[in-house]
Amino acid sequence: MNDTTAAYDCGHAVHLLWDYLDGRLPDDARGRVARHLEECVDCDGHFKFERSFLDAIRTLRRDDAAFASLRGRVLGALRGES
Amino acid sequence: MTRHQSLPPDDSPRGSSFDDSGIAYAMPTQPPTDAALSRFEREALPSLPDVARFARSLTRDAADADDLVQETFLRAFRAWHTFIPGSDCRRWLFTICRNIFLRARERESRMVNVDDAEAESLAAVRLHIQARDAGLNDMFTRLDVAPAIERALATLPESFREVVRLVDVEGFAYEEAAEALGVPVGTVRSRLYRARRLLQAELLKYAVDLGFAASSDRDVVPQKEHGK
Repeated sequence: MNDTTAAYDCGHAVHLLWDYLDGRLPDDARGRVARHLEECVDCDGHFKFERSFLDAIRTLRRDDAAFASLRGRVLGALRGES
Repeated sequence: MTRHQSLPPDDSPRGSSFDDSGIAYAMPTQPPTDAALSRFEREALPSLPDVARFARSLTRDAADADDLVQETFLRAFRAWHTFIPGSDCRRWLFTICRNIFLRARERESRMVNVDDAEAESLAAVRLHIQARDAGLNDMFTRLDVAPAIERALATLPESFREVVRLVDVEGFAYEEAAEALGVPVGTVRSRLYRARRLLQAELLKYAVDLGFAASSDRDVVPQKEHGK
């Protein structure tokens, strides 16, 4: 009988890399990826690297000032409609 | 195109309607007649060279463009009874041509979604191995990361850039991004994964250009070992 709770192998875990990091896996699959990462240094390193990449992209959100001119343009258009 | 013209049906269910251009069409209710064919040859076929040039600009492939032109005229003829004499036939044909092209492209993107997503996960891991081997395992914390990512984002095609902005920067769920962009969730997923890989490749190149990869061993943060 297949063990549906066992850790995935490297190939399977890597295929689910982004789904795992984006929180899109169901509980059982997420648990099996997590167990694999506890056991595999290489895959754990890959996942940490990609997580740091996503964290880095999120820093762009802090730069709201960059949208100031766009906001002004949109506001101008909205006022023109009213 | 004027309001009173109708677009011909494609592969939509019988009796349904769509309005890609904000115009509803009526399903044909009668077969074309010989007289209709004569009128079609006289009024529509002279536009074929124009439609063919337009199709070539869309597909960028001569064979695909020819197929597209043929399909355009076939569908136009099937719906010829809905065409209003005296209105702009060439514009009507261009609209049909563009709609067929866009729908075919959408079908293709849906078909390759799953394979693309898996391939992109593997590609991301390969890219990490390259970075690690170059001593750049920690490049996302060593770079002045926001300006570097902005620069890298600017190099991506618009369709990739917008999905990164919505999902990774603004925190949209895939489903929310799909709704905002008017594309299937699978398309958001595949575009996002591809965009992330392209972004990382640009950032790796940027880090190497800045000389980070040439740092001496003591400047590189050692890779953390787990379970050993």
